[in-house]
Amino acid sequence: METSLVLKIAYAALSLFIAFNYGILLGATTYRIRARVQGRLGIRLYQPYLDIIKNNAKRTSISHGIMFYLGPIFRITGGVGTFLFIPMIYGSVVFSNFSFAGDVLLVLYFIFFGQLGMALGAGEGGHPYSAIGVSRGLAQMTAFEVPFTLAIIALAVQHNTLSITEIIAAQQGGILNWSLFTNPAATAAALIAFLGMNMGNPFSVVTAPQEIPIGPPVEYHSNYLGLLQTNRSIFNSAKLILFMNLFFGGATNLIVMIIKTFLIYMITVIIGVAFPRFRVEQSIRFFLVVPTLIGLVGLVIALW
Amino acid sequence: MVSPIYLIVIPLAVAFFISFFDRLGRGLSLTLFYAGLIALTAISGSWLLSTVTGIIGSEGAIGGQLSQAAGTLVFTAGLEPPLSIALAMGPQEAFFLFFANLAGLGAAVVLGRRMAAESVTAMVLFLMVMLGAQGLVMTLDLFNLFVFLEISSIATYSLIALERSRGSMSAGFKYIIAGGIASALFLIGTIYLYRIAGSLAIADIIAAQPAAAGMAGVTAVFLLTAALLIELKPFPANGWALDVYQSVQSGVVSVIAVVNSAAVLFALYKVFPMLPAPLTNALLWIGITTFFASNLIGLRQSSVKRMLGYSSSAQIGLLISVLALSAMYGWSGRLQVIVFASIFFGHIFSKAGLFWLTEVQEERGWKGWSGPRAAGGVLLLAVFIAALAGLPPFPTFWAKWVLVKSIILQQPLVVAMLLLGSLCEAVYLLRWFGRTVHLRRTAAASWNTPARIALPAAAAAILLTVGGVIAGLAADVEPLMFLPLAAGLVLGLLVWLPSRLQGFIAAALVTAAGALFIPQMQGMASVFALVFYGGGLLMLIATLYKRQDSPGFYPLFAALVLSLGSLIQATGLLEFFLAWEIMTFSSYFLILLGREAEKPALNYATFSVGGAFVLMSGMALMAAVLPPEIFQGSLIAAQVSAEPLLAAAPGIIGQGRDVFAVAPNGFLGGLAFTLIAIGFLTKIGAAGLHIWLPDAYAEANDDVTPLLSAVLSKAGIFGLMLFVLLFPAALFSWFNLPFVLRWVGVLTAFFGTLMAVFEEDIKRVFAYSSMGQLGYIVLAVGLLNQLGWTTALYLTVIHLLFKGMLFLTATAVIDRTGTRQMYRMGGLIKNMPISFISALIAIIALSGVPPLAGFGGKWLLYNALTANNYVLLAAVAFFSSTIAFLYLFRFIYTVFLGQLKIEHRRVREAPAALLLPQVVFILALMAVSMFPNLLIQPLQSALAMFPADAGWQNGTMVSSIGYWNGSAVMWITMSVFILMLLWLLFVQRKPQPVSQFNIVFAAERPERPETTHYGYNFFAPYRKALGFLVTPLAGRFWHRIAEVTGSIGGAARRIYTGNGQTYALHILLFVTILYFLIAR
Repeated sequence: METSLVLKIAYAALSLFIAFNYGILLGATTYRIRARVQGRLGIRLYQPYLDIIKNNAKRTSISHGIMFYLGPIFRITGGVGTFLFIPMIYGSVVFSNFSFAGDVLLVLYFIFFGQLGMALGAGEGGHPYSAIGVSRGLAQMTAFEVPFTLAIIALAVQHNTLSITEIIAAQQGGILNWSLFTNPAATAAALIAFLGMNMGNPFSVVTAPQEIPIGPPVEYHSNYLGLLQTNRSIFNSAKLILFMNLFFGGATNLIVMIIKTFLIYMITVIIGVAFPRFRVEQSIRFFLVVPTLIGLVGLVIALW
Repeated sequence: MVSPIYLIVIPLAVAFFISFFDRLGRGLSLTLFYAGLIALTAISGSWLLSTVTGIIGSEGAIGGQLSQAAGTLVFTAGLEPPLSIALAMGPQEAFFLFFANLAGLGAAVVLGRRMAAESVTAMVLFLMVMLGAQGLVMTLDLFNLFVFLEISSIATYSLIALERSRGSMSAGFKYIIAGGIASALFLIGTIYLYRIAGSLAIADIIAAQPAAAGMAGVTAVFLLTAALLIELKPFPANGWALDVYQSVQSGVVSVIAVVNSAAVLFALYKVFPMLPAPLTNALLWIGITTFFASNLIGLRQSSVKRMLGYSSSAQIGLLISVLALSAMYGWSGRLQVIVFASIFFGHIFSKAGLFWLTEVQEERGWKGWSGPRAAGGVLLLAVFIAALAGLPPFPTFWAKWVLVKSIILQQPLVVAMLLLGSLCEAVYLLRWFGRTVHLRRTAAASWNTPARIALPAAAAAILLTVGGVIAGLAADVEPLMFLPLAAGLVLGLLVWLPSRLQGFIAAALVTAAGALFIPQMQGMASVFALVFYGGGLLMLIATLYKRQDSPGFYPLFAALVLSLGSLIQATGLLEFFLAWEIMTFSSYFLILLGREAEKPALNYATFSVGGAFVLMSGMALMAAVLPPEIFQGSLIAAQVSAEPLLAAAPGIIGQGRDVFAVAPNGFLGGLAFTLIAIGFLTKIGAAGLHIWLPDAYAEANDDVTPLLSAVLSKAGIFGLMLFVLLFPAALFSWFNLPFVLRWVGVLTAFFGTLMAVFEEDIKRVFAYSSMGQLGYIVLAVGLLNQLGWTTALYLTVIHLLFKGMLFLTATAVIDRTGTRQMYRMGGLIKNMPISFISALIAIIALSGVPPLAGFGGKWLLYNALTANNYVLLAAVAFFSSTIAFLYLFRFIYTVFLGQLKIEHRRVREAPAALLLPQVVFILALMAVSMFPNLLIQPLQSALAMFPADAGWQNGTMVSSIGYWNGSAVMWITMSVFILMLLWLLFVQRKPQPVSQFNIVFAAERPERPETTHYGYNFFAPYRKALGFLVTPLAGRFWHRIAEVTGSIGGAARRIYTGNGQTYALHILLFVTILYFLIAR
């Protein structure tokens, strides 16, 4: 039975709400883990909520111009849109979002929507650190997209589909059907790319806090920052769900989803706290060699 | 009919009496002199008219050797030969004489001032030269031939010596040495032939077949031929002639190069039937070697006149080889007329015209030759150079086409030498022309063209044009194909109108042509027609932002746009090539109008002409290897019904829809297609062949570049797709060409994009970006399935939209800021908001980010690639498309965002004329983004020759592996965006706008935009990591080729020592070696 449009929107809003809260809690957990590694206690789990509320409640704000104003809107539209094009729970009508609108290629390219808009907004801020951050971010992005693409192409060839739902479907029926096991090389390549995507260590030079204070969003404050923080949690969830769907068999209910995505996220967190930072050209070279070769192996496996 | 004997009598009589009349006054003698020349021209002209009308309908008569079918024979003194001189006047004689006399008359006009100033001897000698020519052409007797040769030589020598300069004296002496040797050989040969044949009448000697009479006969014929050959300046025994060309006044040179050469050539033509086969063969190679080597050496020539001398020598060489070919393959009738007559005709008038034009500044080398001041003078120069270089519609163009087509299978090496030589010739001629245009713009040293030069030169130019059009019509080209040229001509005549009015007229012409032709087209043709006419029109409107454009701008622009349309309408290979060449040269001249465009335009021309020659040889080879009945069956049928080529295309591989699906001759068919593909890829700027592209795009005028990138570049794509459809079987008959095509495409996309990242110049960024985008299209074409080709067409249309917007924005900011360096701009968003929006939409579309239509292209491409398991191609394509983000962001950030420069504070929004086309592009792009099926469905139905591999379900496009609902994506994105915007507007009380520099960094508040705008070398780390990939290997490769070619030319030039003895030795060695080769 066709779900009516209104219902669809309501369902999407619900899953968006879940993703948002999950993303925030995940973020807070990460902060805590990182703090513990460094011997601190860390923030309380609800601290990010307070931050968002506080930023939205700020009484003053400035604008450098219309594009500066729209930058965060682009960013969060990108995050929400990306999330909405990914089915959250396999086989669920409620949590399938708007995945009917397009396949994995759409998601892949929609990720850029927010980044581009944000970069433009930051650009109008006129702060050189923004521009430097964007320059680094874009440069690094082109590099980690290579292994990521190789992995996705490998999956598409392997399962003969670009549809995320069908890729999940192909992984059902046992853990050994997961892409993680049917194509470990592609998964490995994608996960390394994932590290770059999350801009945690060792690929954190984009937002390098000591060098170019937080990079692109340096000029953003108050409500803008609130939007950006909201987006971060949604976008994080979206990426995690995408990876879970593509490589870890997807999820048939929320509990499985939370467990799987949490574990995937821990990979970034653990590597993040354990490694120092690459310079931009180092990370570019790294992405174009090690994970790219692994990704090529993944392709060979897929074509086998 | 006036008896041809008067052609001999008049110059003799005038020369005899002119001294007496000169005593009475120079005016009288001059009148007599010109009256005599006019009489010669008129008589030969009347014979041409009567013989030609006499033979229309009986074609065979033209080609027959010494045929008098429509002519007449006269004997002097009423006696039969051998007691009298027998003269023949047939169509060929009339043709040669009329045009030689006309050129002679022109030269006399050019020399008018000198004739008035010098002693009467000059006029006498001039008349003697003309007399010699008449005799050489008409006489039927070998000894008379000798006599006229001597008359001509001695008169020429004396004419040269009249200069009284050191150079001309020595040149004249060298001429005498060469002439002496030639005469001696001729006389000995004649004696032997008389001994063998018992007659001096050429017809009798031919009948006696002296070459068959043993070694003596061969030797006799050889000596005779060698003598004539020496007079025709074969390489390397032509040093004396080059010295003459260089040191003698141009007007005189034009007579030597044109009238004398034509006459001797005709003499050679007359004795051709008595030549043994090895000698004919040798003449072919001597001719073509002369052509090739002379043009090669011409590359290194600095003196204009000597350069033209090399070109003359080359053209005569070509004519000799055509004579040989025509004897070897028994050409007759139309073939011979088109090839030989056209080259001859094109040569005499273009060469004479050039020599006349150089008369004023003859001492200068080409580097300092500033050219005529009047625009009309430059136009004349352009016409002569184009005619000499074999561009349409001039006669040589048709001749080369027919020639190449006729001999490509039998004599591939000759074709190669012909085309390489032609390329060298085109390069040095266009280099000279480019320099002239440049100097004219920068230096004040141009000169006025006196009427005595301008009038004959204009007449020659008109003759060349008319002759060319006639030759074209004779080659069965539809008159419609001349429309671009006609439009250019009409606008050219309106050049006195205000610039903008010309623009409006050009726009009206393009609109009319589009409105007339687009409705007639179907399928793929209509897609390209829309791109060409629609895109062309919008770009034409954009040019109106300039108050004043260079003279010639609109004629060229209109010709260019209409020639693109002609490409689609071409009904045969020749017509296609005609449109292609018109497009090539009109774009070359258009690029040359740019301020610093001298070198880039030359590069463009070199690659375009080279590419066109490769294309031509490919098409000729294709025509030659296809079974003739197939070729005629479809293409000629298409020609009769005037159906465009595309409609005649058979379909696609494996479906057996047409006889074309038969592989044409394996290897050769594949080779032909490969050559064709290389021709198109050169135009597209595929990696390795791209080095002309960035400079040409960057240095063309800012209102030309959008057209080049958004519209013109699609011509190559159209050609590629058209020929794939025409000759699908040839794609695989040698090797897997589509495989190579795909990789060339994706590498072009990759390297084009990467090079764009490291550019500072806004136009160069987009130039490389264009290269990259076309790479994707080539990749898609190489897929050879419906989804792939849908992608190709989709990208073709979308690229027009967003690249049009980007280049027009670039034009606007360059116009407003006065710089092309992006880092010198910044913060223009507030001054130029509409341009910013246009740029923003364009970069979103180009980068392929949803929801705009650019994503459609990406989706189609990756679906097509992945569905066919082209995984590596997909990966490289994806990598390239992410790299595009870098230059796109860099462009929009560095130009529109960041810090506004103080000197740009008063910059205003772009002119309306530039904005209007952008608004149209934006609307079209948004419509296609919102409803992708508006574009994709027509494209799919245009590609019905392929099996369908993607369909539509309720607005969702579904391929075998993926799906995409463009409208839904648009709705979702828009809704989320608006919701978030409303949210921000709701929670945020009015944000306080702040002024520039209201930021803090590095613990200080900046005050200078230059120190705060992070713009220069934006991707420094990227360069560190991947910069090694953009090492200009292709540039170095081609540069080295050019250098080596030049060096070989330079080295070959060293044989010309300037020493008369050496030259004599050259001649003797040449003859001796030739003899041994023949007499083996």
